[in-house]
Amino acid sequence: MESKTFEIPIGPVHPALKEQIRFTFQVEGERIVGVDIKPGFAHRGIEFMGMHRNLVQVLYLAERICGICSISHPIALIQAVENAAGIEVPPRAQYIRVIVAELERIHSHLLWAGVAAHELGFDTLLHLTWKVREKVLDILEELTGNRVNYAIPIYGGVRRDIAAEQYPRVQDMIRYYRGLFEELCDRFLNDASVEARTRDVGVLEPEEAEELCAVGPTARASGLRKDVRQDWPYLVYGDLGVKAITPEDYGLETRGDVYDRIVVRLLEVGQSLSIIERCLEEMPEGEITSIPKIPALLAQLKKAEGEGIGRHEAPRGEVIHYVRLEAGVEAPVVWKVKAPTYSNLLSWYPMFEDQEIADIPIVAASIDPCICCMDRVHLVRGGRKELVWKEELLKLSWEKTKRIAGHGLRITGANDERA
Amino acid sequence: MKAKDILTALEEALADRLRDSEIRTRTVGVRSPRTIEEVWGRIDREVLLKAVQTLKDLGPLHISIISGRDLGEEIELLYHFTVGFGTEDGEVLVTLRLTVPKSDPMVPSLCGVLPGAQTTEREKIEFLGVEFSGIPDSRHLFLPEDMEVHPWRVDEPELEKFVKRKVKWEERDGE
Amino acid sequence: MKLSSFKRALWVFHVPTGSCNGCDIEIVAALTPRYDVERFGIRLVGTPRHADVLLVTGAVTRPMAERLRRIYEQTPDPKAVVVVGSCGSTSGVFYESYNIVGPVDEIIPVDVYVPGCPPRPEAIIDGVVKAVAKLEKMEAGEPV
Repeated sequence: MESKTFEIPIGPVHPALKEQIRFTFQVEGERIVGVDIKPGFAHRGIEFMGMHRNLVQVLYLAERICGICSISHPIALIQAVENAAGIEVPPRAQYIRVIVAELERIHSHLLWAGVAAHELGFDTLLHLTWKVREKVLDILEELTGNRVNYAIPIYGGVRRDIAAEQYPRVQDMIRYYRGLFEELCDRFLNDASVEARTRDVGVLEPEEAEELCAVGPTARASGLRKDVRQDWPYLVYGDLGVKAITPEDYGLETRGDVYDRIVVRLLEVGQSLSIIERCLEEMPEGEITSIPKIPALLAQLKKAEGEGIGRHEAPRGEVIHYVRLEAGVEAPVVWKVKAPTYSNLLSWYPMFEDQEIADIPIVAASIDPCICCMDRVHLVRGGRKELVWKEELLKLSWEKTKRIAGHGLRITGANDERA
Repeated sequence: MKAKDILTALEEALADRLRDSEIRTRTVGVRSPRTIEEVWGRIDREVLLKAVQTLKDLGPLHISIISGRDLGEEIELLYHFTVGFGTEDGEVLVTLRLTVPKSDPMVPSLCGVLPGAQTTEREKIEFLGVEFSGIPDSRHLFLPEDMEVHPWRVDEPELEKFVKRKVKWEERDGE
Repeated sequence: MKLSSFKRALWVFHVPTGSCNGCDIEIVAALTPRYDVERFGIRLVGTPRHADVLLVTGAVTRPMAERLRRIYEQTPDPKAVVVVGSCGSTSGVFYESYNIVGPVDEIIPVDVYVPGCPPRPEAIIDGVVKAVAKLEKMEAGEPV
């Protein structure tokens, strides 16, 4: 029997959001034997724009690189500029930056958990996690004024303080999530169908993760203890003694599959809650920024000369910004940004090998890509192209779950036909 | 991992091909402040692979990014590595600077030693026009396939047209 | 207008054209239990051929311009286009770049703009409802 190879290009557009990227899969029967990835549909030329504007405008641009990890890029950029220009940051501001960064981590991981549940076909879990996520968005709105794009950090400090009467509400939120934690872990980790769909699927071996320079929960789920907060302490993470979380911390043997990535992200939510609690206790009184007036700040930055690097552990992994400033020039002469999915792009190649087509949605989503997206799928059979929407892929994924679970699942969207 | 050990190992391996080397220090932390050290140095492209192998032998190696700059006649590349993740406060940032002339922008590729460098090398090919010898894949990554200009070069007259160009449906290149 | 005046369910197709995902998340958040647009009969569908309303987000990048135009042409009439977010309305912070070809109304005609960075889910629902009102007027043959 001869086997043929089909190419399946997958583009963007998905009912549950996401960005655009094109995958081309080579398939034999139901098995994937090769994959090619072409990003670039969401490339906006941010570094190019940033090198033609002044540094405060660059800050607002950096915030909108990604709407999910929207404080991660400003924190890295601000550290880079502060290191280049030698600007000091008061202690209270450092604690506030950490608190908002950890709140963002909680919201991002809950968002991802809902998306992963949707890819597998458990829409009730999607609605549950996103409903639960609204609580942390409420707190973020209370502290910063917006649900997304908080505009909290500024060179030299932060723009808003946390008032004493807001502490009890944050502590309420921590209690609420602690109470739900057991239930969340139970629904995701103790469910037989989730385990059957994710165990030994999309495996990334530790050697591969290290060679391909994977970062974030993708690397930690493969056993690498790699976390910028632990390895290269910045802000007050050194004082808090944050450690990288791997599946061993949950009592599991590390296999580097999709299930391990769920474990790591859920445990990190618990870790962030503890960090926020400690920050609220240990935060000293004091001023929140060392250069309160923006014109004075811009004048100082214009005179600054030097280069600096800033790093941050975003929910998806390491974010690094490099900035070079020259005296007399308002714009940064060089601005280089690296988002975490950039490093994790190459890990998709070994993960997709030998998987089934029905597993494409969950494996693609498991690195929590911040440029993901699927749209149309072209099935090339012997040179003739067929057009299939990602809806079909999702349907394949949901039907596989149904087969494995053996009970009826409500499949939304794919089956409903317009009369 | 200590910055001093890394610098000593690089000096031994590269001798006079390593120049302008220094260790920059900063203090971080509020309750228990600690010193963060970064290693910076300038090397020639001929010893790049040797330098990377030296770093790899010292501890788990991670390449964060390669940043680049157009200096007029030359292109400067900065390789940002980190060495030694895995233990608390154990990672050191190592930045190696490398200049190539525009007339011959060829740099040896790291993909044999560190496969994870492929994404960032491909990005430099399309943005700065650098070439990497031995790279397994050199297609465009982020820019559209038909875009020939290099956006970070300072001497690209065609770039203005791209910045101001709109897409009109009837005429592809509405000015 | 009263929401009870919807004559049938509304199917919405979401088109991201190079956005930061902020608006996209708020659109999906509108489906979740706190805002729950499904009780009005508004649902996201997976193909433009079934859609009544196109929700477009993002400052249009060069590769997505052609796809946006094609999706617009694939959507059957009557249709309404709602642009969500400042990037789509006026380019927002993304201007003067080699890969951005302008706000959405340079590529396709737009009916409703929902500004904000990102707009709240309530604002997005308001925008979709206004688009529906416009659609119903178009179907009834009234001037819009």
